[in-house]
Amino acid sequence: MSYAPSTFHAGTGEDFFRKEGFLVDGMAPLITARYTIPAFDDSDGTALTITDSVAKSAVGSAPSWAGYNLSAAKTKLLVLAYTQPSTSAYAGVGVHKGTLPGTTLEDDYQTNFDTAPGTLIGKHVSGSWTTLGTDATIYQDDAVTSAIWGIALYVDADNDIQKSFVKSGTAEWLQVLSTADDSSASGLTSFQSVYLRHGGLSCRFITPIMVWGA
Amino acid sequence: MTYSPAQAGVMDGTDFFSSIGLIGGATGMAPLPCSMPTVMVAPDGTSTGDAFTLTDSVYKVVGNKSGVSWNLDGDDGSTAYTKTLVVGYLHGNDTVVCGMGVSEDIYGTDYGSTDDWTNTLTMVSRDYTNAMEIFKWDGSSTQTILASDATIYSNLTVPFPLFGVALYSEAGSPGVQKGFVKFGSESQWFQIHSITETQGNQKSLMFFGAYYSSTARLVTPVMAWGVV
Repeated sequence: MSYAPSTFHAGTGEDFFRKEGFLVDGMAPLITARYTIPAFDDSDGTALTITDSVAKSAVGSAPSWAGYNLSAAKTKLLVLAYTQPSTSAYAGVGVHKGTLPGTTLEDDYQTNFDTAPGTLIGKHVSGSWTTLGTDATIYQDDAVTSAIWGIALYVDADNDIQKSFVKSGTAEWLQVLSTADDSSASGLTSFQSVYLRHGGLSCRFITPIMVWGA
Repeated sequence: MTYSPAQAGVMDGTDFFSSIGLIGGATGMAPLPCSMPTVMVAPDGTSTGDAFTLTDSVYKVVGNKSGVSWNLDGDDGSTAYTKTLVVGYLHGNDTVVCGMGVSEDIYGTDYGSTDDWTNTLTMVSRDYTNAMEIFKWDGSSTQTILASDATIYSNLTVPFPLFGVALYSEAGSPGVQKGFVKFGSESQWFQIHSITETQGNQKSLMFFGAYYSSTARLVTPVMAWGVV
């Protein structure tokens, strides 16, 4: 199959995030799961089973994640995935300080679709959760019939930027939240892993799953 | 904006199904003559008493137990295929069941209703059970649910978006069947079911549409790949 720019970018968000200026200053692709989800480096909670383009959780309802370690720490990251929550109360993506923690999340930024507050950005610091921003005017419902949505998190630790984007339907990506947590004060100055966040209950993640970093 | 066949390849799954080795390359699976990448054409088999309209990319039907078929070979249906992949986009308005599949048999004008289908497998969304299912009609038209997943399905009501379904079939005893869906965004196609039901060679592309005087739509790209 010949290379075609229109095909390569379909669903990956690369065209949008490049035009918007997020994929500059050395931001290079780190994970490019266009068709098949690669095996996870580590996980906690309810397991995700990968079948080609989909990773589906079992029926357990524990707070869960599955992710990938990066080869080196990054100060800027853009993480993007598509989700179908089934009845999981939340589904999203995050970036973690250092390598994956093995058990519960310790130090990170995260965005997810949450039933109660809506689309949110939050952080763990030493395992303690703080919500940084929410928007209840647009989010993916935790229903069996929910269409698949895209969700993306951009963080720039040097400039205290955290942004959440969603893609609903076939329109373009749109920014929903932008927070300015003091990354230095939070001790979140670099990140060496990324993860998919879910609450079990047959939640699905679907390709494209993309990560860029610098 | 110029027409891009490659972009169409994203919608109809050419890129994904090639990447996982179901079509193209050494599989021998090639697009079949019945494929309708942009414009729908009149079906070969039509259920009795159901009204349908064709408007460019859309086949719209109002009826009860309405099912239509296109001969996979784009001709008289005499060619039987050992492996097929069929893909299409669906919308239902209280249709209860809506799906696509393949049949070992062929159908003509006013053949009856979906209760008269034989030797057919479909990948459907069904409101009645709130699940994505693979349905079977045997040689005596007896219907059986071969696989059901209630963790995800597309509601067949007015405000819900179109959704794509795909069914891969391999004849044999056992055979191989895989059901896929795509809905609501530019995410990739993903598998829901994988089963090993005994199946013969296939001759028809099937669309299960309206149920109980409801409305259903089948929208392009509607594609079929196969190998004899």
